[in-house]
Amino acid sequence: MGPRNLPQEQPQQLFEDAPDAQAQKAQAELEATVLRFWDTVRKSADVIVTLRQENAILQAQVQSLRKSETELQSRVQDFLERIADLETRMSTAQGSVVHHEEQIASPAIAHERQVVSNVEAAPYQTPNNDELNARAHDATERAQELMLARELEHEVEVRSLRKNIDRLEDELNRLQNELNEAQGQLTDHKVISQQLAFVRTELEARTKLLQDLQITLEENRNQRQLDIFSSVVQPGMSPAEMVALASRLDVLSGRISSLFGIS
Amino acid sequence: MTIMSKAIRVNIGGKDLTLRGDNEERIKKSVREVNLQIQALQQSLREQSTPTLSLLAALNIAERYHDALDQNSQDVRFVNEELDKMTQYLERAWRQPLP
Repeated sequence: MGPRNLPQEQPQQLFEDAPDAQAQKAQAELEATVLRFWDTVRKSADVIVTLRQENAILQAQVQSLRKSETELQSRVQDFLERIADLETRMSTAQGSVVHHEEQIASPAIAHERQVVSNVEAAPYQTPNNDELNARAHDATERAQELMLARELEHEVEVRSLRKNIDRLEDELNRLQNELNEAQGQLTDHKVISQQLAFVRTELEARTKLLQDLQITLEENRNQRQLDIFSSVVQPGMSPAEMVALASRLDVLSGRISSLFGIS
Repeated sequence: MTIMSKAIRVNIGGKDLTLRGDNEERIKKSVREVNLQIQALQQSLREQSTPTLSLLAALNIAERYHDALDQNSQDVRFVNEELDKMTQYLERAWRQPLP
């Protein structure tokens, strides 16, 4: 039995592609796959670079934040130390004030007690009026001196407080004056704005009038009979003069419009 | 699970044969390929005998087998080279100094 030459056994019927065509197709598929993989690799490289950049930025921020944290901790520690120091000084000052008050009060009280005991003991001792009088005089003087010193201290404190109050009042007055000035300026600005608005309205009206007159001038150029702001154009005015006058009016109108932002 | 080989009746170069194999489809495909080779040779070498045509067909198929091996080797080399380039590219992206 010989080889079959049936149509269904012909090469083009048996295989989708000839072997060489298959190889070429496979080669093309392989190259396309490699190219797609290249795309993926390039995108991955971009992502890697982006991530590295972001990482560098974040590292810098971390360093900065750590530095700031250290500085803030240092400042907080400094504040805490200053607070402790102030508390110590306040405690010391309070102690000093109490001690001072005691120092002021104790001799006076002791003196007064001594005077009272002397007075109470006087009837039971050998009366010595001169000595008693001298002691009483001394005690009185001492008490007066202490009271005077206390009053002086109090007066100094009151003066200091009054000075502070005066300073605060001055500051308050100054601020009040500034406020009044600001309010006055604001009022002035409002008035000026109103005046400017009025002037602008007036100018707009006059510009409109000017433009109307200009139109009239254009229309009546041949008749040469035109009044503008009480200026009389004589019938004998030449066309060149008429054109010059119209041009000047036009320029004037433009300048006024541009000056006041009139469109 | 063991796949039982089965008897497959084929015709190669006009000769009926009973073959045994696991992959019937693959065997039939190979038989068609051999027959195609023989048919092509018959058309160009009409005076040659069937054994000679069979030998030439086997020679052609062996030659194509080596071509396929060479092509495969080239493809593997090409893919390896491309993969090396990709690796170097990614290495550069990973290690190059940032702008």
